[in-house]
Amino acid sequence: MRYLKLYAHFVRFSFTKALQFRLDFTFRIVMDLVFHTLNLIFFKILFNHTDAIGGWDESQVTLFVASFILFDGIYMTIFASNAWWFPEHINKGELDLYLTKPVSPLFIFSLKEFAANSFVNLFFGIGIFTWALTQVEFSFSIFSLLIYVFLIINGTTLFYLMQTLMTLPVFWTQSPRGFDLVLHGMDPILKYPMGVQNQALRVIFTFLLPMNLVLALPAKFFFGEDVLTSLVLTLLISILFWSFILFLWTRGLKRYSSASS
Amino acid sequence: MILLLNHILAMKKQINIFLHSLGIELRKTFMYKIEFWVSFFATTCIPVLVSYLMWKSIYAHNNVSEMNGYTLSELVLYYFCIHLSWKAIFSKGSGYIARDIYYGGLNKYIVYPVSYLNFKFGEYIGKSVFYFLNLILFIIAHYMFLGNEVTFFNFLSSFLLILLSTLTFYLVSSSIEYLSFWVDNIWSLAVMLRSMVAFGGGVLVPLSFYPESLQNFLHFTPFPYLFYYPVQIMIGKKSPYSVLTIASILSLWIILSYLLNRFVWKKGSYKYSGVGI
Amino acid sequence: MIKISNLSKTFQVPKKEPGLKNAIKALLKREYITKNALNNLSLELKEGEILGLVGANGAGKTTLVKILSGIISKTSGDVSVLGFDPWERKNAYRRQLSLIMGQKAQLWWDLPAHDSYLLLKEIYQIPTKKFNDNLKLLTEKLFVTNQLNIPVRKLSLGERMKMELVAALLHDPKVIFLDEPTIGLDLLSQKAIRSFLRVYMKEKNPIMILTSHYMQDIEELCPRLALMKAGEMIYDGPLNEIMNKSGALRTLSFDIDHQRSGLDDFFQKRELKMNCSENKVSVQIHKDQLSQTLKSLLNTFEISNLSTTRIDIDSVIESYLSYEKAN
Repeated sequence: MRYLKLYAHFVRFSFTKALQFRLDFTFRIVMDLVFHTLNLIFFKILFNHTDAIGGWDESQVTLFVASFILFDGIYMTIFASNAWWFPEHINKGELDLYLTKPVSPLFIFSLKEFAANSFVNLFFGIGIFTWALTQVEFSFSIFSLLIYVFLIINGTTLFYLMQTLMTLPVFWTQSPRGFDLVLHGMDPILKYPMGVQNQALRVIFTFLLPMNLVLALPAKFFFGEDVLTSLVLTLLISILFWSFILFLWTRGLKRYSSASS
Repeated sequence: MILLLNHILAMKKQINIFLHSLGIELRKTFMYKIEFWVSFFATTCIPVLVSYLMWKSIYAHNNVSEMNGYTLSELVLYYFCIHLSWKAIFSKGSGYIARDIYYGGLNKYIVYPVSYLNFKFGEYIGKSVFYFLNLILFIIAHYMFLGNEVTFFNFLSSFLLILLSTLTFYLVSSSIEYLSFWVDNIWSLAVMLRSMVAFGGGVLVPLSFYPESLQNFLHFTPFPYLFYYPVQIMIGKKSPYSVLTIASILSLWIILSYLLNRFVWKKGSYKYSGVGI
Repeated sequence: MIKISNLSKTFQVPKKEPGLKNAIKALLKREYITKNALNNLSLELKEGEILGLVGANGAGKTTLVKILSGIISKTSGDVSVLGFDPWERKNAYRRQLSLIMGQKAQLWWDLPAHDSYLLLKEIYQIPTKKFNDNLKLLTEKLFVTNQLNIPVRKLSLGERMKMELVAALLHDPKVIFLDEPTIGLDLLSQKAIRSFLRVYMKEKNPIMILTSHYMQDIEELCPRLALMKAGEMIYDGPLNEIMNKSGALRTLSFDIDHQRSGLDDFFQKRELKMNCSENKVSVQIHKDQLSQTLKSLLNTFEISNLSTTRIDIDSVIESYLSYEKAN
């Protein structure tokens, strides 16, 4: 409850700030429009040459891309700026101040920078997603749709956790940014249908670095392929990955406290 | 005569500064070598691998071994070359000047008796060199194991073209960076440019797969000339333009973007010093 | 109440040697050097007491403050603040604690300070009435009421620091650590902050530890002084005492043009150390010895520009620190 109130403050701050930088606001909207439109066109082009990619037909892939846009909207709004500042906060000693506050520093670090700028794009994502839903050729229940949306939200937090995994080494190596660009370079793993991956990639990106849990497995669940396996696997690995990151964070803090003066 | 000598001396000084900042950047990259190689693997090898796998599934689904003149192994060569040259051109990405402006690091350079544009260009090329090295190593390895799809002459000429593109792109991207004199946050513009270049330069899929009308449209933009046609030449595909034509088109863009760059810089730095520190 | 006994803190830094060969070696096997940040430190502070903590960079002041606020862990010894072990980072403790670092801001840069205060109200769960009263009181005393709704980045450095102070004191902390609160400020702002702190201490009676490079901060605010050097506390006691001990010294300075050779002998006989650059000479001398020495000095040598000055707190501490080094 108290944390909700805190978060309300962060959101309010962000809107106050965004209103000061109106040009940035417009830039972001245009950027996302261009980015996502090009992505949609790309798959459209591919489907000029084939009628299925990785076992999915055009309407399925379109919904999958729309899910990516929805995911991106949520991620950019809630997590992206925080993920960007994360290593900097640790390196420049911002952490010091938050450690003395009676609030979890991980909470503040992860959610402080709400991006009001991207908020509009979230609506854009919801719009595209709804449109894509009307295009699919199979029927689905409202219930499974709700679960699907929940899984996408879960996937978004998972992606943030993976991003955190890339920057947590900063605690030990004192490098300026850790491996923070790695995940973004790998976004084809997120964006392309999971069916194209070979066995090795599938194992790596499901169990080791759960990129497939962000969008691909939820989509599999929604498309009615291995419904139960997809669902259980996603939830189980999410929980494991959560605990793993929390464990690393605690270790990192301990290291921070004992290795500095 | 003395005038000419002075001119040469001044140029030599600029080149020295350029080389110096290039060296610093190289050393910086070397310092965090683990990060560098990990991100090289993740941001080049994995996307190429996934693109390859996607085509493999498409080829298998349609039961063909060649599409649009590309076999699967040619596609791998294509993707590697295009990714690496794309990265070389992009080099430092975004924010490398914006940060100086926002946090006041620019003051330091204004005091130095050197050209900021030149200094940053050194850093920019310093970062590119790494991707160029990767490209060369990849081509050599490819030549050794899979034979001569890439001839030396083709490689050299397209390599020189990509160098020209790097200069072009540096001039454009720094002009965008200068916009931070007015706007606090310009990374979204840089990201937008990045995705447009990727799309127009065939990073996702060779341009010949695009619909005819889209291809025709792209001819009028600078995007395909930056690295798509050079890479076509490199891997021995037919390119609609010769090396010389591409070089002159790029030179034209260099002149235009240089003028733009100087214009924005002049306006911007005037504003910067006008507001005070 | 703060109670520290036999506190030590060591940490390890990787040994870095220049050269590529060593860099590769370091990749395989890193060697560490153990550094002593704090060494067997003991200290006690009561409510309403304010301690001035002084020492060179790297003496361990900040380390001590960081341990007391729970940011870093201790290696050995006992630390208790208000009955808590800071390292446990209990919320009950952190609610009574405030840490102000002159070089680190906690206010949101792009927002008016008032917005950040509302957030802090939530973080510390300050009741609305208390929050409003405290805010009014603090801003009035620091003369920043009118700047509350201006984005922090548009404030002057002095105003910003005052806003930081308000932010740190809103929740009525019982323990306050001030790390360089006046760093980089102009004299007027420094003065304003000092007199504010003096009144604040009297009214609220918290425990405070102040570190500063400006001796004037210490002189005006802290009746009690602690000197740190290389992780050890080399002096802990009243400021007056150390001033009296070394404060009885006077600095005698003069110019001399001829007969420089005899001068060395002259002072050596009296067991005084002289500083000499070109023809300018200065000597530190006890006040009881002053007139005697002066008389024979004037008799023996031809000197000009003679003056004597009381030694200031900076040099007292400097001489104390270097005196300790000699032994």
